[in-house]
Amino acid sequence: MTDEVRQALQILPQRLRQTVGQAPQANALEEVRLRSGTAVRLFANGKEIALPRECVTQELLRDVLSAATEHSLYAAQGTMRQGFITLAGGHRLGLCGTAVEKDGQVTTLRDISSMNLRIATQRFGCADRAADYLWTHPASSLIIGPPARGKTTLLRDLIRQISDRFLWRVCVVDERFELACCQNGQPQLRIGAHTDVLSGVGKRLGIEMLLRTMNPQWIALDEITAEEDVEAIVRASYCGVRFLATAHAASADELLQRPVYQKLLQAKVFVNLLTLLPSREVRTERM
Amino acid sequence: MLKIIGVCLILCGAGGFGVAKAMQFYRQLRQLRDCVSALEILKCELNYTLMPLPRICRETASRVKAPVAQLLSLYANKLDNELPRTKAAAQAIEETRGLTLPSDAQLALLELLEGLGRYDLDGENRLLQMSTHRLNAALERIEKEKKPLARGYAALGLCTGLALVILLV
Repeated sequence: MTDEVRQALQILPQRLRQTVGQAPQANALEEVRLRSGTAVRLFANGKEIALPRECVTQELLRDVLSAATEHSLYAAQGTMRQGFITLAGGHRLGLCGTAVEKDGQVTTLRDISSMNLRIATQRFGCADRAADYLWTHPASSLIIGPPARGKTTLLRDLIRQISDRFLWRVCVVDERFELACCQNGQPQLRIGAHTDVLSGVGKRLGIEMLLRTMNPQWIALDEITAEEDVEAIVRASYCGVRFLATAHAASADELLQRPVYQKLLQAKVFVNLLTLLPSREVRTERM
Repeated sequence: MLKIIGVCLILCGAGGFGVAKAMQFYRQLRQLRDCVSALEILKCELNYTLMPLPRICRETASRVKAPVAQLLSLYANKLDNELPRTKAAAQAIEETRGLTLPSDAQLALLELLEGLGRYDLDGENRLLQMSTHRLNAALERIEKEKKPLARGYAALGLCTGLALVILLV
């Protein structure tokens, strides 16, 4: 088992952890799916492996949730209402259950029915080509690709490379603790020696804070989804800072169809488009 | 001569027992005050840092005195060792050396440790508030009982000693 897999499996009860660890292709584990009343299912190398002897019970889901939050639901409240918990090492536990609403907003999830443990991996060198392109075309760049294509992994390696190879000052707004996975102030993943990380803060606020205090050359952020993020990016781009960001879209055309990104494209903040292809290669082009 | 030594030993033994019993009230009072302080620190850490429970318990343990500090450290260790909250709480209370809280305060503490970490911040604050209230009630009660009962135990010890002396000598 790799260190990443071992770390991610820590939230499972000991017996299940051992069973999963002994499963075929445990080294290449990408996801562990727990659905109430069904067998535990693993995903590795794009294939599904069912563990028929390991049936998921409500008690198991409760124990996993307790371990994932380090017995502290209050600490995970912010992300739980969005349906996930970030674990040490940048792994992510996706949750489904019954949403509890208060004043029109989801406050938490109860009666958890299924969980998806996504194992984060750091692939050194996956951004070699993209980094070379940025060296010759240093301008704000948007990484696009459908879910689970590896946008965050690419972004992380790109941050590391432009920080270590080109010595550019990079600031990261790590809203969901997925890029640097800081614990006790220490990034758990390698993101470069010239990188400053602001964790757990929303993108809009994070961009403003970094601009005021850290004098960044680049600001990196994962998954632009809200209009207020777009507005903050547009405002900050007038201050001479460049952006590295990701967005859910399979192609440039798909990007144009979403209103939130239309605004971004109209403002011409992003100059480079890095598209993740199904082969996990990166296509680089000017927008 | 031997008789005198015997008399002294019986008196000292019985008197000492009475005084020790009386001292228990003062120990309980001190521990109850430490518990209330610990709960205040827990509340501040929880609201300000939102750190996970085991880390908050350790942080609090480093700032309070012996038996209560040991209780919190034990509880944090047991949570880290994947023990369910209820078992972790019961075992931590049982294994803490020198913890001599009155039964109602002990129950309040047990229920608090069993419940912490289950709710959102608002719920945690209410739970802490309720537990503080229960501990303060126990503190007030012991404070009231302290003087008459402590004196009573000390006097009872001495009287028992005297009675034994009269009977035996």
